[in-house]
Amino acid sequence: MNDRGHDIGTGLTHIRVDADAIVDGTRVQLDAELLIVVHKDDRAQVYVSQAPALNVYSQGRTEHEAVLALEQAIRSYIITAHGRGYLERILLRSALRSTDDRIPRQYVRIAQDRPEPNIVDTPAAVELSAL
Amino acid sequence: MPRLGPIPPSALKRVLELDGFSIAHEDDYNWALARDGVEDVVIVPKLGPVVAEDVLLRVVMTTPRRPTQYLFPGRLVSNTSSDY
Repeated sequence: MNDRGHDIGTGLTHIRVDADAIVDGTRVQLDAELLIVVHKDDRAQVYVSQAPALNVYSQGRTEHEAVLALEQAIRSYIITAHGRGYLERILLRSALRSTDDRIPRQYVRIAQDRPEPNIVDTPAAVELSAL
Repeated sequence: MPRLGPIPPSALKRVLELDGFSIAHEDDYNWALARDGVEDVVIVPKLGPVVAEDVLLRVVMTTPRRPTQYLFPGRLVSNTSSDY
C-alpha cells in the first residue's frame, strides 16, 4: 500500500489514527487501529477508501490521497459522533470485533479530560475512558 | 438496483444541508454532517470531480429517507437502471 499502513495480504491495510481535539470545551484524545481498503472508481475518476468496521468512506485523486482522506474522515466521524453523544452506540453496533485470528485487532479509544465513568467496556474492541 | 447519478461533492453537501443536515466538523478532505434525529455522521469527501458511487450509497443509506425518495428521483436516484 504505502507508508501510511501495512497490507496484511487480504487487500486490507492496517492503519493507526490518533487525534487530540477540543470538543465542546473538553479535550478529547482519540486512538484507533482499523483495517481499510482502497479501490479505484473509474467512473468517478477517484480512489475510494473505506474503513469497513465503521462503514466510513472517503475518496481522493490518488491512492495515497484516498488514505489520507480516510484517516481524516475517521477522525471527523468519531469526534462528531462523540460530541453528539452517540459514539458509544455506534461502536457497539460496529464490526470492530472479529473472531478470525487472521484479522488484526481493531479498536477505537476515546479519552477525555472530564472525569466520567467508563461508559463502554468491551474487551479488545471498544474502549472509552476518562483521562 | 437504484441508479446513482454523478454529483459533485459540493452539490451533495448542499443537498444534505437543504435536507436538514449541517456541518458538524470539517477537515482538509471531508465534511462531516449531522442532523438531529439521525444517530450517525455523514461524511462527504471534498476531493474529486464527483462523489464515487460507493460513497454516495453510504451517504444515502444514512439519511432518514429511503433511497428512492431521496434528493432528485430520476436524476440522482431512480429504480430504472443499474447504469451509473
